[in-house]
Amino acid sequence: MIRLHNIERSYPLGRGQMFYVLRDIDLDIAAGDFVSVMGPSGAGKSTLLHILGMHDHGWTGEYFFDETAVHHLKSKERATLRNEQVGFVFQQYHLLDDLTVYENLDIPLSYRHYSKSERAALVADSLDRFQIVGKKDLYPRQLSGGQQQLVGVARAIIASPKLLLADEPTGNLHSSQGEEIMELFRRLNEEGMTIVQVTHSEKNASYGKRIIQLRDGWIV
Amino acid sequence: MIWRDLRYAIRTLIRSPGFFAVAFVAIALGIGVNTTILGIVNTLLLRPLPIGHSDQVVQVFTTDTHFVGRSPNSYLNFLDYQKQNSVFSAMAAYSFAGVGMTRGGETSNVLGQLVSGNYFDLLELRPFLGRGFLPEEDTSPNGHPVAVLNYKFWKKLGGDRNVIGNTITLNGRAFTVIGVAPPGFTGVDIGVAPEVWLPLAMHGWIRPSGDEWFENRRALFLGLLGRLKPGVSVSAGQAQMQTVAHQLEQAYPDVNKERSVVLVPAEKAKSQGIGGPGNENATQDISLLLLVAAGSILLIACANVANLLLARATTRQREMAIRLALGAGRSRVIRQLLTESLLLASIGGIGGIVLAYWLGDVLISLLPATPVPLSLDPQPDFRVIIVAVLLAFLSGVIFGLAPALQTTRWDLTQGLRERAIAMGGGGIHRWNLRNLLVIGQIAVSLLLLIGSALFLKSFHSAQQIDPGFRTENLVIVSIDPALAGYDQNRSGQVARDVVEQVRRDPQVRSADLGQFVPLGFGGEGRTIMAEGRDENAQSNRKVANISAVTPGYFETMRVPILRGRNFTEHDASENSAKVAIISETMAKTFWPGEDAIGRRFRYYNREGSFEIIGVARDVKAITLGETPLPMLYTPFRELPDGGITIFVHTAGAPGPMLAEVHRIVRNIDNHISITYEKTVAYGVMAYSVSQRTRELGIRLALGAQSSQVLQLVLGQGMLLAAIGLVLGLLAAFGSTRLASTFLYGVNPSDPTVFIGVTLLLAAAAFAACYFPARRALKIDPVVALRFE
Repeated sequence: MIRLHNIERSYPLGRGQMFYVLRDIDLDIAAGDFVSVMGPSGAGKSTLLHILGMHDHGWTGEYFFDETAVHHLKSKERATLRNEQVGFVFQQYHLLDDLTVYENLDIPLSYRHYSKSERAALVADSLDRFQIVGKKDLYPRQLSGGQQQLVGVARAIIASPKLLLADEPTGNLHSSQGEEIMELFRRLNEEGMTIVQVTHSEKNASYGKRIIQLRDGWIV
Repeated sequence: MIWRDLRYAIRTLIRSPGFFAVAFVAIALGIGVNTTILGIVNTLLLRPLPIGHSDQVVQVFTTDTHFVGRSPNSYLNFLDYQKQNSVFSAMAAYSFAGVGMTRGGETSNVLGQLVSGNYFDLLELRPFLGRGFLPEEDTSPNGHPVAVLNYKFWKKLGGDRNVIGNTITLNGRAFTVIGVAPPGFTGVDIGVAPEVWLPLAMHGWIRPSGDEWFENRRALFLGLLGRLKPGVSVSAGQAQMQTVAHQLEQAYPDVNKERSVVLVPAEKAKSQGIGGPGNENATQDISLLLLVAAGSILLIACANVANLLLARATTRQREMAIRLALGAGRSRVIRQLLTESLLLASIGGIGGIVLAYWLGDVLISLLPATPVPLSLDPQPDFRVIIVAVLLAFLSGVIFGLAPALQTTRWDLTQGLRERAIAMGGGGIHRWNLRNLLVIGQIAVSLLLLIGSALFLKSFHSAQQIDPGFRTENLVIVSIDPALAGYDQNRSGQVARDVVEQVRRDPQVRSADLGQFVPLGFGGEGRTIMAEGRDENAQSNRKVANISAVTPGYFETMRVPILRGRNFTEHDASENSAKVAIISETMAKTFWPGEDAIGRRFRYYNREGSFEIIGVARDVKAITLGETPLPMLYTPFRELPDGGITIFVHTAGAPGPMLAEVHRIVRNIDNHISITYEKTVAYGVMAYSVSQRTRELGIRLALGAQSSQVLQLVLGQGMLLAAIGLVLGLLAAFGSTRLASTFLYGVNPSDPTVFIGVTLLLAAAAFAACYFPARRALKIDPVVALRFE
């Protein structure tokens, strides 16, 4: 589903020098895969995730998403592809504080071409599926960390993306809450969702089907 | 989808009450001031006269090479214009007259307007009740005592729908009410609203002492209206009327010499009276000036709110990054942010419009007292409200769009990582939005401050101008017993009785009568001929203001007699020789380099000559800024048309004496009404005005920068200030010229004001940059970055 070839990401240091965050990345991810990206801080894990998620545009190399050459797409086309295919789960949950659980789930749908009734049906399904119907009118600050991340995951997949990207999804959670989220990921993967997660935890990484180690921008 | 944006915007505003309150006040003030000024400009200039086909109606004015500006017309010329012109389908005449109206034993002043019988027909007005005048009601002198009431005045009298046929008592005589004018119609002159219309032929009852005006072709007192025939342009009408005027000049060379006419569309002429003769464009000029000032205030308000939004956007960068990450397009986020700013603008705009209803009345109440109360309705009508709504909308877009664009330009991955992101996406060297806002605010602030400083300096200059008469402990009260039905002789006696009784008060140093109120609202002017000179030479024929005074007037008003002698009681007696005291300027004008004492003059086209017995110092007649006008004093014998004024020099504060004069007048006859009153105690206001302006200037200068200056280092801040100051100076040079008419003794490009205010603002900008910058420098850079 995903093929990266010779991907490099660098930042100028001044006086013509460059600082490389990612070097010569070649990576294939098949549909239905569950990949855990590991490595020390500064290894380029999050950068890789943001390149996969088409948030970062300052890279060089070739990136194919389902045979679509992302490296040839314009910014707007990448945004469209991302909206259709990719869901995100963040370490900080990144729920919108001033919106209720229901409204937070509705937000990604409102940015896509869904009618009002379709959106209502999808949000209702999602609330049911994650068993958070009772919390639909609560604000994020009224939820526990685990509950917030549950909403974060629900929000990430509500528009049925093919690829779910997760950046340290359990980094801010107690271990028991973390396990719940990882179990959820496993179930989603079993249902066919392709997942790439960045994690420091060996245990969480073991939920995946394979592990990629990054060090100083290189895959090792 | 809009509703969801709106709901979210409401929630966002509710969650930031502090931000909301400050932004609301800024917008409400900006919109409020602009709506108020628009309301006033609308009243003065834009609102069409509520008459039929107003584009066909013109006002006819006399021009005289000796007079400044446009003048009214004489009655006899009006009759000839009517007969001889072929460009008007009709011509009508009108003249204002103060009238004493008696109701329930009390007499009060009302403003009347004597109009020709075809006045309402010419204006194509359909009375609200009853009818207008018939031509035959304006034929026989004092033959048809009928009246048409102003709609508001009729409401004030109780709004009785059966009022037609009732009688009202004006100047002690009964008049039958035949109609009520349509709502909104208050004549063709903005600012002066007649309360009752009366046929011109009734002038003998309304203006008992004004008969001679109707017989004297030289007396200019009549407003004239003409309705152009279909297809006749104003210029064609004027050409033909000037031919008629030329024929009249040849037919009556003694009185119409060097006089012609000018036609001005009624819509254009309606507000020229406010500026006065020679200053016909004052209303346009001041309207433009007010609009520039109000627009500047709105710009500053917008810049401040934009700054608030930018500052607030820093705290919302995470939210925007999440929205973008979840698939929101840039335009979608901008729409969300614009919805918020438009909601803010709408609420602020509503606040502003409500404020305008109140502010308009406040502004009008600040206007000085006038003999005829100014009748202005500054309340916004639907047109002003529509413009105000559009202004609010535009403001919302202006202060919302730029911060919204700026907000959505953030680096998404950086935003999600919650790293430091400098607003505007760059360091202090970039010309970012905040920098441009600082420049704009300083420029507009400087423009406003220079404007204020010029007016302040003008006010100060005005304080330094010696008006030539007593400026402290003076009470001025005008009465017109003729309005209570007194004839000229009895009126004069009443005035003398009032003065006698006032003089008995131990608080009174002196009290005297005079016809002309210096720095009042003008008076009677006469063309004077020096005897023994060539009557045709222009230098021997000049206009002078005249004033009948009692002998003590010069002492009471502290106007020294420079040469010759003062009047005596004998000079005022019936059979004594006609004598006069003239002003220095009149002496210099008529007898340059000679002694005027003993010289003689007469009124142009009149018998009977006056001997000059004294020369008095000049006084300012109409405005402090004027070059002295010729002034002529005669002994007070009988009450002149328009009433007489009692001048009282008090030992202490003049305020209490005003009430005492009221009491004395009421005691003599409570039907006599006071037409004008004023106490003079100059020199009090200047200090408070200057204090407030200084405070305002500093607040503007500091407030304009307080939110953004923290991140500017001193040098850059001052660079921005310098650019703003240069732009502000350029704008000020361009716009203060509009104010030149209203400035006394001050050049609109006065270098001290321009340099002084610029330095003041520069100093304020320096302080505003320096102290926060110094504080910022004391903080650990790492901590500062973390907070950024």
